[in-house]
Amino acid sequence: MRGIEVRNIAKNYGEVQALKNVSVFFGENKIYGLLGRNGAGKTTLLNCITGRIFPDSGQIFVDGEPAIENDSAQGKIFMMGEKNFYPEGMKVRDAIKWTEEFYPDFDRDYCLKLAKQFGLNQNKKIKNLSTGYGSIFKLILTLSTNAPYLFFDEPVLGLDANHRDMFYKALLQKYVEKPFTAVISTHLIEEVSGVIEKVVIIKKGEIIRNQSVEELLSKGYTLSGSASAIDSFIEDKTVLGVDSLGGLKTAYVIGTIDPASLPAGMEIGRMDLQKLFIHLTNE
Amino acid sequence: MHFEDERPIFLQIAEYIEDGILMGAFEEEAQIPSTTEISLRYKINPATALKGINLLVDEGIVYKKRGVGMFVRVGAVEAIRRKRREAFYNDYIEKVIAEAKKLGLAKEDIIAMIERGYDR
Amino acid sequence: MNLKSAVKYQIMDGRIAIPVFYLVMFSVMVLFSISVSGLGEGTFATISGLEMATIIFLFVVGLNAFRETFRMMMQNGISRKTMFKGYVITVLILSIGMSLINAVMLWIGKAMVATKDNVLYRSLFEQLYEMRYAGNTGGVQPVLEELMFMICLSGAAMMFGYFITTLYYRLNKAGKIAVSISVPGILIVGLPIFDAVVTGGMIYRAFWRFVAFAFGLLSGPNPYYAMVSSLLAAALFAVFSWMLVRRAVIKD
Repeated sequence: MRGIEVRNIAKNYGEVQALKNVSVFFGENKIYGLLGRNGAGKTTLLNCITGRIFPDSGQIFVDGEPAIENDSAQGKIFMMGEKNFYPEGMKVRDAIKWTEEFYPDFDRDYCLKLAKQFGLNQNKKIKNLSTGYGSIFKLILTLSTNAPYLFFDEPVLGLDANHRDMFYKALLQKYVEKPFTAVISTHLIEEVSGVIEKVVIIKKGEIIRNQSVEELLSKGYTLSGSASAIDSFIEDKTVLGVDSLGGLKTAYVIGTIDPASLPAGMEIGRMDLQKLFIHLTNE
Repeated sequence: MHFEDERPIFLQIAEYIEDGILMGAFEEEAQIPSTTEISLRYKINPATALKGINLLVDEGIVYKKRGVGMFVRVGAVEAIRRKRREAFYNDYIEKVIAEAKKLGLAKEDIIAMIERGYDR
Repeated sequence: MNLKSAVKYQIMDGRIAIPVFYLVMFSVMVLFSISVSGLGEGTFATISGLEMATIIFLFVVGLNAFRETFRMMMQNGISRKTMFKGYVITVLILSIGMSLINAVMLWIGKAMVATKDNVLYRSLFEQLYEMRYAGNTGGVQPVLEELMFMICLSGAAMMFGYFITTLYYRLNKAGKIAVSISVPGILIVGLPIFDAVVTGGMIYRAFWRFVAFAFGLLSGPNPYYAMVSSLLAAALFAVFSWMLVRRAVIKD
């Protein structure tokens, strides 16, 4: 069974339960969005999968093999994290050289092509890269490794709109040419919602949603109208949250509804991923 | 195509292609953009693009030529017109009436406006 | 293969430091030879210290061998096990390599001053063990034994440095402070005072007796004692280091 299986992972930092009984499966050749608020546990989960930290309990498998301390399993994974793990004094071109050394399927020509496209100066020392170019450096490396499982933790931090566009295009281009599994962990939900196929939402160390974007969004709807009308109408419904503006209210409802059953003056709309996320992850 | 729009992306893709067929941009028996092209052009997941195209396949509007790509079926224009005419009432007329009622417009007011529009 | 890459990377770290080290050492050697031989009659000088410098250098290499490398290995999918094995191989390569280079440099040094009467090149090994060879340290046996001696000592130095750095990495802030204060505190201040006041210098004497014994100075002198002691020390530090490394995690 190809994929990364996370089984009942728990991780505590002192009193804080960063991950509580997390189980998730990242299948072959799909693009996932890993969404969660700051401190929800996204990076902790990714760090467990990549062996950078040890979970307190639970197991992780990569294509059926245990992931921990396993060169062959970890060789199938490459992660770009928020922090840089390359020696700061190292030059970009040397970092490329060394990544190629550790990842035999690395595509140097592709890497150089991307570097040129993004305008990455290979002679610069990593510590002298701006925030944006630090991200660009990491994401170019990640895409070039040709590893079957790529993790992007906040890939577009500091990137201007043009570079963000370039990134999504490069990601999709690579994906259609030679599919792989990508897990994108980000706050920029709207931007990424078209690119991802499945979404995993993590809240306070627990996975609260794990399904395709379509499924998730079709399971609910928005209702807008006068505050009083909305309030009475939603009494018997599962409501995620409400937005109010004076006498107008919009409710985010879980479930389905027949539009014909709506009273006059009330409008039905579609959930958007960002609003859904906000209301799902609010206290 | 705006993805802040309310409807599922794959539906918008299907509609975009249908519009292209209606307007003659994609003629019958001509090839339509591949899922790859659509995915890259709009920065959406290929699976979504595929879903949109499959919708059109199911409705008999396009078909797949093995090894080559997706092509517009003969009679697609008529099929699309028929489909949309049936949906016209739900998609447009109902909304117009709802809005008109909100504004206090009478039926005759709307009819007059429609005549005005067609006369132009 | 992962292990090969891990070794390659860890040796790369020394790519600049090692040549610089030898450049400096060589320059010092040459300078001293020239300047001392220029002194007049009646002066006598002994030049040594390359070995000591090498040991200290390798100790420092060990001290710097963990943190940056660990992060790099974690980023590139290399397990702690493979990284550590890579380090052990690096220790072997550097110990053997530098000991060989030192042997050659010693030979060069001796050749440079062969014509001068008032300058002498003596290695650390010679200073400790020349009695064993009745003063003739040019033969095959002393050279071989010196080589082995240096290799073992170098290995121990590198493993010791590595142990210290991995220990510090694993300790939390409080632990680091505690160790940084208490260890030197006891060794440099506490113990000597205690020894002077309470035990009348017994600890000091026992300690140096132990060191002399471990280096085989009381038994011949016999360099094989030193080799065994160094290997034992290296093995011990290696074991402790591994215990620390295997549960090391990426911190921020």
